[in-house]
Amino acid sequence: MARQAVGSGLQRTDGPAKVRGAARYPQDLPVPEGCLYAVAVRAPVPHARVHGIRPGGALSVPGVRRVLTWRDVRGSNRYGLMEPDQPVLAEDRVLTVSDVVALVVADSERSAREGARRVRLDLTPLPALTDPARACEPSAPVLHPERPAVGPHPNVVAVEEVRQGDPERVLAQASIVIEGDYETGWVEHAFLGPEAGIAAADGSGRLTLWVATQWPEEDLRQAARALGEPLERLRIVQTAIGGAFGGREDVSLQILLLLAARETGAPVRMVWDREESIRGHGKRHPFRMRYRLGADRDGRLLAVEADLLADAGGYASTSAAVLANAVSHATGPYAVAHVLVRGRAVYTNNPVTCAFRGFGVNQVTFAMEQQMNRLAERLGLHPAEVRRRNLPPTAQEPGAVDPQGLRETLDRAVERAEAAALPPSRGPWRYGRGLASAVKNVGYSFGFDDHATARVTLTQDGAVVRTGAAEVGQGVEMVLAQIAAQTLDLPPERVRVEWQDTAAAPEAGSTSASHQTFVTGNAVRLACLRARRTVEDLGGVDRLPPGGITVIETYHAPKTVPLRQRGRTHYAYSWSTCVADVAVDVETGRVRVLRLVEAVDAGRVINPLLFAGQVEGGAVMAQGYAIQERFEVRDGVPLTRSLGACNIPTAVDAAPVIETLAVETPDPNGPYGARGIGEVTMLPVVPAITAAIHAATGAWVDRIPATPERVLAALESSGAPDLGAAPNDRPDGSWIRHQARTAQQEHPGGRRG
Amino acid sequence: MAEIDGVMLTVAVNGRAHRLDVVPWLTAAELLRDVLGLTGTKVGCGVGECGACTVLVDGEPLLSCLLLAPELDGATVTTVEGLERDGLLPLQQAFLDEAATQCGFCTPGMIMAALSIPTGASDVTVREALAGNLCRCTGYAGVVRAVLAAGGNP
Repeated sequence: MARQAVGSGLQRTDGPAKVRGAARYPQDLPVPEGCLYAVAVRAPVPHARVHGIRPGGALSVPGVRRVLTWRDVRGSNRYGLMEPDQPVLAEDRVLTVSDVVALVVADSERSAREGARRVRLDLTPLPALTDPARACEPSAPVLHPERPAVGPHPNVVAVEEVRQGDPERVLAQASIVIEGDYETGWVEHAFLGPEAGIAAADGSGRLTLWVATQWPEEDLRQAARALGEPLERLRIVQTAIGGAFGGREDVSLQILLLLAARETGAPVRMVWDREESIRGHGKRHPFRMRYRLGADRDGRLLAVEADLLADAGGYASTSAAVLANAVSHATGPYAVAHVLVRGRAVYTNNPVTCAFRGFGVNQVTFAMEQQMNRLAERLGLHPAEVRRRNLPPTAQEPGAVDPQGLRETLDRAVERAEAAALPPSRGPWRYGRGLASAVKNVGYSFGFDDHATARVTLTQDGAVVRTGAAEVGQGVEMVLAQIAAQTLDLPPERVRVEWQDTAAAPEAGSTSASHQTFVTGNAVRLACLRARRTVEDLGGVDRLPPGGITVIETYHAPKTVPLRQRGRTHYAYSWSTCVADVAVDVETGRVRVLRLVEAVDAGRVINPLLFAGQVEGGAVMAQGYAIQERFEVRDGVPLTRSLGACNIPTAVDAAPVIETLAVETPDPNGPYGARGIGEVTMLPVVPAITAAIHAATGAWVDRIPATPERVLAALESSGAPDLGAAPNDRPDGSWIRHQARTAQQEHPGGRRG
Repeated sequence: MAEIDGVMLTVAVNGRAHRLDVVPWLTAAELLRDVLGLTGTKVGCGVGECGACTVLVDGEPLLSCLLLAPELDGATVTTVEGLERDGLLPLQQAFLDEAATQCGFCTPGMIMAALSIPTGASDVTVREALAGNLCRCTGYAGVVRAVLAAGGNP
């Protein structure tokens, strides 16, 4: 009888060290003897021609050893996840204020900082190109002149288009047309542990970097090319990781530290303060989106047109993939026959934008779900009903969105939400309830060979699983241990997962795209299956040789194709539905989120504690995105420079009631049916909150975050808020606004449609 | 850089007395982490906005990044490393039971702040008491459950 490791709410094995303060993050590592300290000198302006970078007085500061510039990098001096367009150290130009122009290495942090202040830059500031729409105009300066153009203007990083059927004709004839313009802003990842690390050479000349990252092997590949080093000479040892959320997928200080250690021959340490962390890593992409949706009078979707414009900032990072993901998710999980989605991601001199939990799907989910909620309102339909009428067809291929699974998230979220009534209006407070659904691809799509390798050593004492899956707090170490224990039929405490060292653990791919549970989970399951068969062939565990047996397996996810080719672009999905209850102060525009109910289809919940943690954490992160977080940039320069200014939710802001519901429709390819859920938990929450704001007040807020100013402006443009009436005091307890009221308050879509 | 006289201070940290000569600009967080090697106290922002560096100074939760080390002269300081008596405190255990720690970077500060919450506190009181401690992973749900389950100050 197999033990049930999969599905049990086991406590995470790294928990005791974390509650004792014994877990070591990069800034906590013992500082080696003779360790130097490096400080980056960053571009003072977001766009400039650089004529010269000179140490100036830096070398006369006591303790300063070196002032490194691009000439010291020696390799390509370029990095980037999808294309190497970002210099490690600036050469003849700077394109963002995060560009590093020089690296000062000194005996102490104080000397290095003093030296950094004295480095002399000879540069000519250029006007900053900060509007992505203007960056596509013929007159706009070309930011990467050496790059072959991929779009109508050389500043276009990527362009995508999906066309299906005849959307123009169908929209022209549709009885219901809903239009909307939507806008989302930058968001800071705001992981709690700022970037830090130590690099040092060992006796054999190998350079080792102790750091927190999401994809150590990819960091090393980029570092090897940039520095002109053989890959075998570089190694990463991961420490505990103070959060990531996509913000550690791009290289931050990795190459700088390896460069400094190589050039000085000494160990080198770097610890970014919060201001440098915010300046030094990317942000979520701001999107401008124009949507047109056509439906019949029963609320069935006929056609969707969407035009998306994303601000990539100064360098490409993963913008092309974020854009492709946005385009491919632009119509949500629904069946739509006629589709035209166009998207562009554009270089500007704004902060670089990169991966961030949801990877382009957050923005289009906000827009598409606002459209769906407008459609529901127009027809007087329950928001869940309009979605039930547009469920996708039953899957033809394994891994596609399952209509029954999606329906179950709708039904269960609604049932749970409706078990409690909203309070009646009181004073300036209006209460409303909103719903949204979402779908997110799992893993790396668009033709990428998404794979992971696991090495399992099985002895009479238990198993050691080695695979380089970065544990960023989500609990993948536990998930993999439970999958291994289940497959080997071992008690989980006899399984150890080692992921930290690239010299010992094979590559597991990036901890992003909700990839690890599915892909690395499968690699671990396959390796454990083979180990188990070997044991059976040997005739039992007691026949194992003294050192045990070691097997290695690589799992390749099902093949996909790029967006423009025919075929499947994604190999697996997860989906979810959220119902939000909010209170809106119609005098101040302030929104409070009272309750979030979210049903997430996890395929199979490997660990209920970790599942709840992902849903609760994703929901509150989404709440911040929906109503309160800020990241402001003026003329290419971030005005938001502190955690406080980012205004991420506190314990008081966070919804006091979060109800998480697990739906388990197995994915036929997922390990034990599981699919990744790290990102999808965030997606429906934002449009559920904006729908609830609408239900409470009659105002559609189409630009997030829905700050008090924006809520007030939306109230004003939707007609003066009716302070006397209590729109949610409806006899049926319904959360749909009355149709009559809707007709008076035509939203922008209504007017044009 | 001119030579600057150090400052002598006496401080008891986790039950051990220390007499130290420090530069006057050293923060309490730097004293704990860099001088005494107590890296359980985290620095997430350095300007008093995230709460990760919360420690008890004479029993009161304070932000060690905003205190200068010389201000600790004569004080009794407790950090997360000084909490265990016979195993984990009930509050630490509750953080494990309720999955209140994910990346864990905020956890020591969160625990130090939560230790001052009186037994029997309401959900609202717990949230207000923890409003100065940011967490980006958990949505605070598990943290609040843990504090309520452990029953606050032992």
